[in-house]
Amino acid sequence: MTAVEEVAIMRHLDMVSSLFWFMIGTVYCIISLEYGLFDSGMPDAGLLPLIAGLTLTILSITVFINAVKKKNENLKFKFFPEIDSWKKVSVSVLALITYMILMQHLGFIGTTFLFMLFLLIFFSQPRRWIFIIVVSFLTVVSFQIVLVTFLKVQLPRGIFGM
Amino acid sequence: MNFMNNLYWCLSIATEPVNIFVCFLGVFIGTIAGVLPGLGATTCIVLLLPATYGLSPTSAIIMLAGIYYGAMYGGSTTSILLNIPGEGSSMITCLDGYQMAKQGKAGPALSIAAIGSFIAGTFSVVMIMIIGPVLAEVALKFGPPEIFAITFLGMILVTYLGRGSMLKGLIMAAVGLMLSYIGTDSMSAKERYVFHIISLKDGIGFLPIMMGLFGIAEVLSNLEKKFTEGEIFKTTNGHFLPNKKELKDSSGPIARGTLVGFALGLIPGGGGILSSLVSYTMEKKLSKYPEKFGTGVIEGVAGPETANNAGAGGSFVPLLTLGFPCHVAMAALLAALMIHGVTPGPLLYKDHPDMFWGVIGSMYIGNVLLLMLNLPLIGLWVKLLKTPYLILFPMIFLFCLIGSYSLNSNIFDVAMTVLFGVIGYLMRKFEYEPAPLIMALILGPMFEVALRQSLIMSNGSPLIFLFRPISSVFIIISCILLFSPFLLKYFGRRRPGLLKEGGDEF
Repeated sequence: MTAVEEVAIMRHLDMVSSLFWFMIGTVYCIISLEYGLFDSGMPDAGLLPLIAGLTLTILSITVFINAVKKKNENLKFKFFPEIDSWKKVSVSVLALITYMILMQHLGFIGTTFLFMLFLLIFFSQPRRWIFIIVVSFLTVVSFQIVLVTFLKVQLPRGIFGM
Repeated sequence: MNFMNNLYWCLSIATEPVNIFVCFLGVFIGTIAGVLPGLGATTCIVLLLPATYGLSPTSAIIMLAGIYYGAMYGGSTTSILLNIPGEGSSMITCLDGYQMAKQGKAGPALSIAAIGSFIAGTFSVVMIMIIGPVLAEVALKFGPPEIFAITFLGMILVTYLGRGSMLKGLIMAAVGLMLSYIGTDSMSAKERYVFHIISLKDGIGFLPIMMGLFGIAEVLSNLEKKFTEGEIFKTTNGHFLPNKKELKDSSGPIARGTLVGFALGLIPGGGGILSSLVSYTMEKKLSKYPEKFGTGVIEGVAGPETANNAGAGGSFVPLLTLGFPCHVAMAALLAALMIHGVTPGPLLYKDHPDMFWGVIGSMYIGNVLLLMLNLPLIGLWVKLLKTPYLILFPMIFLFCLIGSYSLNSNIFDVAMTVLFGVIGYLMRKFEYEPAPLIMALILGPMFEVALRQSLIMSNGSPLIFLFRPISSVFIIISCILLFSPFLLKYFGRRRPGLLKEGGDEF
């Protein structure tokens, strides 16, 4: 990628991110006013949050202006480097969220086994089923031994008591 | 005499069997973390912190500290053999180390990196023993204005010395402060940004955020690319240890790297990458053959690796004496201290001398263990490099999820880890560095309390920060660093970007 292309891509990204931070900063500032800025002349709970929020808002405006000043190359850019990157990332995030939800219901052992199974099935090419099952099983066993048995980390047992 | 007493005391604590064991475990795991690209010292410390709950605070910190400087050692292995830095601070070693490997000199490169690291580590420990108590005594005189000024300087320095745009670094610092204000205000007991969510009353813990930003975000970024294996060079192609000429050529860079690295390690944002970069630049300037740098010269490995490890040792000084983390890995250690009920700061030296001296003593032992581990076990680390990422990445996910759950047995912490994992991934896409956010998140409460206490002391006058000599110096330095990029740009020059060509716009 040339330096010009890189600058053009960063222009787009900076404009989007600065708008996001502007909104966050503004909302944060508005809410901070509820907590009071001064109490008998001394800073109250809302003052430093207001300053932090204002700082964010002003900085985001500066980034936006800097981005607008950059030359517009009208380049199409790829947010994801490869064609199936978005799938890999989305599936991983989905797996993480599902793990989080199921952990307390199915318990650590069941959820971890399913989590490993799911990720290995999705990501391994070609799929070697024995390898996938063995690795998933060994992962659960090793985590159970190291974390629960040796280090006495408290993990959820779930409805099956595992 | 006092030095000898302190030496005897620190070694007596460090040589307790349990402490030797956890030190060994820490440096071993740290070396693995340094060897494996994508894992890193900070991530490893954060992931393994919950595993230290069963240990005493001293043993826990010894282990976690071992992970940190172990990773500094281990990072050179992948830099030299694979041209991929296992640790960010080993990036510079790739330039000449990999070239040496291509020429069949991987063995001497790895050996010199290990020897230089050992010398740097030993020097750092001696210096910590000398400087530490003195600095702790000075820090006892710090009041709220000095604490405010130093936390402000710390946040500005980490932003200034970062690799990306300073504007974006400041945005991250502001976001970190904003996150730190969520929860119950310690001075007025008002709930801020809680929105009736009970789990938010105590604020958002920084460990789930760190696990998300460093662990999960890193893996999500790596998953975008195809899983490939780099070419790993043979470690021995002739002699493994450096010959007389290589040792002679390395002696100067090792000596200079030790001094430079340690000095830079003392300042916030100064250790790690900056130490190795400054050392490399200095060796190139001092060399009679600067054009050979980048083609496989031993000076290009000896200097940066030594500086890197000396910086790692130096960064313990502010943490142990002032309770002030210089960078994110130290912030993770600070979090560990707090979780184990130890208040970091100048009183650590007085109230927990066993921990203070125990950690220092363990660094002596850790350095010896690392030299013993790194040279003979090169073959094992090479095998480890061949671990398919397909197996590694789900385990990193699991460590993050289980680690955050085990903090408070609260699913909310896991949710925060996942959320900040996604945020961290997006931050990388939009080129925002997480380090300023983490520093501001951890220093935010200290920063706010110190500011408000200072204004109470001065009846609301902000001039208190300028009337006290120590705080005024820190404030002036902070303002210079904050506005210098803007002024340099206005006068037609650019802030030297750390590893980006041409520097950055403000």
